[in-house]
Amino acid sequence: MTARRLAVLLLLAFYAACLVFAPAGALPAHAALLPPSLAHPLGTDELGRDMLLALLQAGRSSLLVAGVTTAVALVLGLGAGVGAAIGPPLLDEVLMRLAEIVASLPVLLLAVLVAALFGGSAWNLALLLGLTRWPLLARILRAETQALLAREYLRAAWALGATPGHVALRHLVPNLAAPLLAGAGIVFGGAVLAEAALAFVGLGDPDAGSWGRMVAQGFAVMGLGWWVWLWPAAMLVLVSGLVAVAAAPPEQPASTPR
Amino acid sequence: MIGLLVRRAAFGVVAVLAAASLAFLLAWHAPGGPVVGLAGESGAPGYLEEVAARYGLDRPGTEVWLGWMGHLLRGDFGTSWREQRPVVALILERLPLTLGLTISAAVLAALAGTVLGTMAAAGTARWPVALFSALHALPGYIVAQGLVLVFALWLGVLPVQGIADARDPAAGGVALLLERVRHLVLPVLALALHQLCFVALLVRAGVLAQMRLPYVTAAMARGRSRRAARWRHALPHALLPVASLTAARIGALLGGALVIEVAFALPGLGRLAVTAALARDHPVVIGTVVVACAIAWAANLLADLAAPLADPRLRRDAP
Repeated sequence: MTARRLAVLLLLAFYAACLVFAPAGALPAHAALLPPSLAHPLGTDELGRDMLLALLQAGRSSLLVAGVTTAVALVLGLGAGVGAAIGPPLLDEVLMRLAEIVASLPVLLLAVLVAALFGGSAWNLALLLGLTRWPLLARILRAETQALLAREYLRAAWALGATPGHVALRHLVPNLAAPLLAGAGIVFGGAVLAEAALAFVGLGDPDAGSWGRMVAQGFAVMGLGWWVWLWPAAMLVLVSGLVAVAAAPPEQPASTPR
Repeated sequence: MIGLLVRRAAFGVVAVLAAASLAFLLAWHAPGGPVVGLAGESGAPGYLEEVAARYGLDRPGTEVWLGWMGHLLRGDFGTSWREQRPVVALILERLPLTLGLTISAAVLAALAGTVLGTMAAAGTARWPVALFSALHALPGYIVAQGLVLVFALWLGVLPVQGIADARDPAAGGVALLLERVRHLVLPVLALALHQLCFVALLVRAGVLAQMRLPYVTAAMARGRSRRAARWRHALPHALLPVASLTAARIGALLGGALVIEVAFALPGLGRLAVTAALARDHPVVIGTVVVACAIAWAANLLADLAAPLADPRLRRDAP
């Protein structure tokens, strides 16, 4: 639990730093490929941009994609999951079949298609990822809701004449916070990696920085300066690792009776 | 059982058509529209109309969509706009590599993950879990670059990219096979690592859970060593989730293969999709989406079929 909280806090701090300190607009050019020094703590890249500022800018666009994706997926997943659990059986069947179809879509391939046809703007990508990543959340939340519905206080609420809307908003959603957050973490991490993967392939947003593109370009000039590749690669590893820790299910203690 | 399979297969066809329709929708509504994407913006008056008529794009979108889906259902993927060759031929050229990459990675992940996971279940040490979790979080392309750095650039034992040695192409037979294998070692490793770690964590947890059950205690009371109890009794029960996970993740692996193919400059399905999408070659794009989706569904169907074979408890007629 503590490792988890620490990871969440680190992620928040980290993205907050990207939001606050990342300069807007194009970065000024210095001498190319300067090694790390006091003036440029992380060195400069092959075009003479300060690596630290470039990393922060890329972090901001990564946060934009992952944040919008998670928000869209959360709303859709929550609606579909809770709706399927408390709605009529037909709605449940339709929503879960839809979730199955959406979950089986080749998302990365469709993302490539969107990026190639509509331009790789961060909003397009976030929308596509959000619209295709909700089934995971819907499934988790449906199962949790069904478990909650069997609890006595909820049966009491029904018996007292509560409407489905009241039950969903007042009783279900607050109790779904934990699985909701865990699912959101998984979606968030997936979106960070998907954005970077797309940029790595060369289909990212050309106007926004991206760790994925920095990794691809840094690898090409690896022989001239290791720092151009290492920092963005470390960022990706760090963020995906932190998200993995933050979203990991709590391990059952060894003595849990079965 | 048969009825269930037929239902699942029919549902799979619906899902594949849904994916194809989504791809069509995106292609049709791309800025400029399909005709300009095909013919370019300049040209004599009447040229765009002529191109539209020749490719059957002068009808309303719904009509074109229905026509394309009908052809897809009959197995007709159409002709590539750019290369003027059947889409099926283009895909079949690229498919063996991607399929080989994906299946090798899936098998490697399942086998090595199972062995490592069972070994990790032996002690009480926490470091294997931390190691697997850390490696699991690494993105595939970073792994790819790291592997290239170590094995290709520093040690110089494996080729960096491509599937053939341009300076000294192997003629055929065993030499050709060896060359292919040498070129695919790093891509398969890079693609498999993520899933391998996941399988290892899954198997470790499964084996540990089984080891606490009375039948394992009974086996050890009869004189089985702890080690034998783990491998012979606990492991088989922990294997079913590995099989279903492997099948369920085939689609995700295909997506990962796309990135790995670009990282290693391999001429596979992913590269075909990327170049076709950039060239607005819509029949090819939709064809690759259909094939990728169909493979994922076929793998799931196979898993549904195999589960009762692997686990007697899942058979319909089981007591």
